[in-house]
Amino acid sequence: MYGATQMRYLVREAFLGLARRRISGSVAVLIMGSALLMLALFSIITINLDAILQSLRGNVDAEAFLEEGLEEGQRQNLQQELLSLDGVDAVYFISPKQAIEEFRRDLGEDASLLDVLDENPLPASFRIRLAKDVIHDADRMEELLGVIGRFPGVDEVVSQVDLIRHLDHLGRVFVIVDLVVGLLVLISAIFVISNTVRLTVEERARSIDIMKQVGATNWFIRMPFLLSGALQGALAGALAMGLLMIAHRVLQNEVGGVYFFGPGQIVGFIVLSTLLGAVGSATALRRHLRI
Amino acid sequence: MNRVPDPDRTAAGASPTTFDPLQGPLDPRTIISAYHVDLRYGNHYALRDVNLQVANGEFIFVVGPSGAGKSSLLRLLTMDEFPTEGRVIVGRFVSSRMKRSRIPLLRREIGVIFQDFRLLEDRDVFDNVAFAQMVVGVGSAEIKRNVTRVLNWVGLYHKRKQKVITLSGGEQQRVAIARAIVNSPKILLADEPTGNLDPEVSQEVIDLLFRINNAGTAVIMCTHDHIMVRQYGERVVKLEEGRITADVQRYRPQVSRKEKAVAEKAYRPHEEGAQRRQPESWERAVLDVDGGEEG
Repeated sequence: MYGATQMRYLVREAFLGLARRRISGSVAVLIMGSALLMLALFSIITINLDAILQSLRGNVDAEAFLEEGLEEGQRQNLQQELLSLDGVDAVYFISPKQAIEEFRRDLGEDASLLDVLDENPLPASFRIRLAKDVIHDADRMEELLGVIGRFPGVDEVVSQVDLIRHLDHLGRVFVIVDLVVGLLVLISAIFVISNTVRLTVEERARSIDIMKQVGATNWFIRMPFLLSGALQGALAGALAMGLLMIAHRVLQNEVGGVYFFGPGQIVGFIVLSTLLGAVGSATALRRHLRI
Repeated sequence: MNRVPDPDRTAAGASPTTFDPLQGPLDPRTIISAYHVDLRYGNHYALRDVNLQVANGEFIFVVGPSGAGKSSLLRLLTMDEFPTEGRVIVGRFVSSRMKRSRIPLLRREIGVIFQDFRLLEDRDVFDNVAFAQMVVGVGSAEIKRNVTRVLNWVGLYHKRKQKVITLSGGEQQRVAIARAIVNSPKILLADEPTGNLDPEVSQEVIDLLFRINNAGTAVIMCTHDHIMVRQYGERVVKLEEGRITADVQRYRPQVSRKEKAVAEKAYRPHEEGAQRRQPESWERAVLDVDGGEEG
């Protein structure tokens, strides 16, 4: 039923509506922008904390110390067998000589202490890199390390499974806190946006009544509000993202190593803001569109 | 017949014969009918057992004091309200079978004007009238043609680009009339259209309503001004405390000398009230509308 004339009218009406209420519209964009800024800031903090947790896990290798007097052939067999285990990504051989070098390097200035020693007390070892899914599961990791420890020729296995357990616990708490706070921020953002749009709708309650009286369908009345709400949402989202980008650039120069949204996430965030703006105006209008 | 013509004009309390088209024969000229309609808010009856039939092309005054239910009756016809009991039929729309989504369709077939004009104040005259066409889905070229036609007709084309708040009350009501008729409705409802206007401007508005009626549109006009109503030879429906207490066809104006003097002073100081419905009379009235407002 509706042709190009009506489409053009609705779009023009959306922009005209924004132009007519320039001040309240700008205030709405600013308020929405602040709510969205909180949302984005929260997401950024989440991303960065998650990255820190991940990088901590990445450094966790297991070390299997070998019994003394192991033949070269036995040692290579053992390496093959360990490598064939499920959950083991790589096995590196560390000779006693390499071990003492590393130790020396770790000690740094105090390396001269080692000069006292007559001979190298360190045994040969395998440094075992575990698969990601094993690192994420402390129980499975402990079990795997037990298996490795029972191989003939392996003297002792050392790992930071306690650290992993700790990280696991921390991660779980973090996810819960994250969900709760994220939900709260999202709900309050919707609430704020809906209320802001409601202000502009209240101004127009009389017009809406008149339009209904003349025979406009609810969608016809709603459309310009939805469009301008979406536009305001997009503006607010871009504003929040822009502010955050500037803040990130400054922080990056000062501290460095702070993660930011990828291009896809930036687009996604602005799309989300647009939707929030539209949903906000839809809920704000609902009361007025009852016949 | 859709109503009882009462030669004695003493039909106080008369209840017209009612044919429910869902049960009995239908007068093909009937465009509006109400059958035993109650409208109740809690314990308060806004309307009680209202029966009314309106034929195509009729002109009806609905009179009665404020709060008698005149506006409630109009709200039933635009289906802003639905009867608590009984049934309202407007054109092809039946209140008891009305879906909310069809209400806009009904409103497009009825023109409505109000005491407070109800124009979109942030828009100009043209856009206000064009909106009624826009919601129907008319294309822009046709909108332009139709809006130009009705604005010329009410004598406001030269003010089409003005914001409506810059217009006088009479002009605003004429814009509202233009908006009400731009979709060529079969029915025009007017709720105290002259309530906010000076007597002279009121006369112009009423003359416009008669012209619209003359073109074939049924007009129902609510007013509490009995004196004015008596000048016209029209059907008068009287509402009191929610009931229709009279439904009278006036064939000739019958005005007491005193009332006539008051009416002439108030409305048309230099013309005979009785001549009001003669064609030349209201042609002249419209000319007055165009000339008078600009001066």
